[in-house]
Amino acid sequence: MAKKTQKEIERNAKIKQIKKYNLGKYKELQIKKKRKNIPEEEYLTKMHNPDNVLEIENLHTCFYSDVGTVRAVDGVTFDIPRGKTLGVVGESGCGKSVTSLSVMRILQEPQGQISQGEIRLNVKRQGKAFDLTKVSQKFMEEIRGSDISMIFQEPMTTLNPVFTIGKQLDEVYLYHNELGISKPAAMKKKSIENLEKVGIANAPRVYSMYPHELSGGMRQRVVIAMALSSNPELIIADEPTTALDVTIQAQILDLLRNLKSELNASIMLITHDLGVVAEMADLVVVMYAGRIVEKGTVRDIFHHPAHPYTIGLMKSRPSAMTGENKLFSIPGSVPNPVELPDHCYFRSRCDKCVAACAYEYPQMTKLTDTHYVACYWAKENKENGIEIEEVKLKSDFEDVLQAKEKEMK
Amino acid sequence: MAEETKETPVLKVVDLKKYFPIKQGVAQKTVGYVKAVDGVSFEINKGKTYGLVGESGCGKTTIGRTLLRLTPPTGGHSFYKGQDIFALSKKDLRVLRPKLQMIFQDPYSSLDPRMNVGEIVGEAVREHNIVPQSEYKQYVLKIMKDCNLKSYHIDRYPHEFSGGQRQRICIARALALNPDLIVADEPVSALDVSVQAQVINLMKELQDKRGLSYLFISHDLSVVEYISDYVGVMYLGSLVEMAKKEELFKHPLHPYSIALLSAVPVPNPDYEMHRIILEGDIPSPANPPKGCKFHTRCSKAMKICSEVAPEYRDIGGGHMVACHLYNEK
Repeated sequence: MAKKTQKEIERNAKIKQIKKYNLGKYKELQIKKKRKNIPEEEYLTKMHNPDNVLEIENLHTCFYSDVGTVRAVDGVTFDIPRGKTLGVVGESGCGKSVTSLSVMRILQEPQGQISQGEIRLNVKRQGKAFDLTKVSQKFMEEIRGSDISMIFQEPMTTLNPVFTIGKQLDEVYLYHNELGISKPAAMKKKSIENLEKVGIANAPRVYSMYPHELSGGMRQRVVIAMALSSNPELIIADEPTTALDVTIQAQILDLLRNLKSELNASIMLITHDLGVVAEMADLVVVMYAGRIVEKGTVRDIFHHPAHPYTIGLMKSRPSAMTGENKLFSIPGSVPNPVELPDHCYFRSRCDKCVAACAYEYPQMTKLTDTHYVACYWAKENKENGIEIEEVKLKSDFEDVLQAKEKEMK
Repeated sequence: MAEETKETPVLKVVDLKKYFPIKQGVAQKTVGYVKAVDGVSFEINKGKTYGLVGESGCGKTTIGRTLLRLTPPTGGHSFYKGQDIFALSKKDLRVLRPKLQMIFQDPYSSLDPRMNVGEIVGEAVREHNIVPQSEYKQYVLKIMKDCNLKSYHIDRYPHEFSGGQRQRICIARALALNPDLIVADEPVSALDVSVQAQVINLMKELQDKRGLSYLFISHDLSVVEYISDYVGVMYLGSLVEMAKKEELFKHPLHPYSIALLSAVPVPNPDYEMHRIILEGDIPSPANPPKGCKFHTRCSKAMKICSEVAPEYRDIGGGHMVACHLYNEK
């Protein structure tokens, strides 16, 4: 073996030091997490607004890795009102998935830890609100799958290949006694009903099939049926259509929309497709490098985007009808999550920097009652009364389709 | 396309077929065929981009692989500047290889993790003796610069790069051989929107500079619309419609093309949806429906559709379509 260079020795020493620090951290946080019989007073809280299903306040989720602490979610605050859909948009690695995993408390342990913040869930069934960062693991198991359920990105890997669809659907009732279905025959009946609800034809046959016998779209329907089987208050959909084709995506989005109005559930929709967000969401949160840079209603975000990152995202969508020869692209790439700068994380890629950008990370500025942004440039615009130019995002196909519709009539 | 036929197209595909046998039993007897590509014809001229769209499983990728002879074809011809690729001997094919390159979908799995960027980009250059040994390193650096990669990247390994950078390495690798045609198989599907724009811009820029031709395979209609000159829509192994980009996106004719267009989410919250939602899934290519393959999901299916397969023909101005709706016109 070759002799280690000075550089390597230094690096190894540094890793060792970090590992030691991490071990201490794991111990501290894991002990807190593994506590049993936590008295209810400790995790019982009050919602700030009783109409909200979920309130996340100042959430910090860290990954204690060997190269340093990664602050994947860094002070995120947002609410999800009952019956509404919240879209979370951002590039990969911006912390949108980690936010959802934190809510479900299924982070990769022991590296991933919620280090600070509150996640308040309004459980209608019990008429109480709980802080999910403080509840015991056993209590979390009850909540997970019955009050909150999740739809993952890859329907191919979400389902277990060695069990039939039916068995996997029945599991929800097997583990959640509070749903009040315990007889096998009743479970089967209910599961088949759920399959029918998500538009699967010939549900009794699908019930006894294995996942590999179904197509991608069908599998995603099964996953949705699974998520719905407990009538949850909140459905977290993590890129539910990214792995699917456009035509199948249209089917699934249509299904989700119909089911939402039927069940009066809230949806937290995580995606990087702005088209999907515009279509599905009522409220939008834009994330960048672990922080929220802009939040507001869909119309706020799409008609009056204020943060340069949001504007950049919208401009970089390919569209031939804009007549421009070159697509707009945001220069550079996301900063290293281990060594985040002290100033605005987007500064090095931003073309609208003002003097204040060189200092502290910007605070959330209120633009309207619903629209907030973390940017000095937007703040100055607001103070000087400058309206930001609207990004025209009319779809290229809009006119064509309207013309076709008329033709058909 | 009448005025363009004088020039020999860079690539001409005639009646391309690729069947995969289904084997069963102990003796591995062939019991049927999956007709992945069934009689596809098109051509690409110099400096143009041909976009190929369709759902997954419709045979887009198989076309790309077969016409470069990465998998042996079942039938048909593929001409590179008048030379039949399928009839070449192994030795001749090797000479031709540098001219036809491919960019794969997933930049994470298509780069060897144990080779650094210099080796990845330069390996084939050395194999094919594109430049003399003395200019080798200079050449690799020049190609990397063309693809917006920094010169100090040359000693780095793929895992040190982000998705967009990796895709640029893949483009550099293809470009290093000075190709005429690049088959790009979903090159931006695995990337984020902002990075997607960087890669597409690069591809367009290189096309203008070097007069490259692309066969651009994708399921994302907005990307295809942006980059292509001609667009072909595929369904279950065959082309159902082909036209110039402007024509296809402004006046789509085939019900499948219309449904595809209407399925694209519109980034405007005020837009009222009148979506044509296709029912069900794409049928199995091992057992395609009789007559028109699309009739099982078509909203305008007539009696004739389930009996006779429509002819793929020109209905004027180079707009090809295979549908009974446009028979009389």
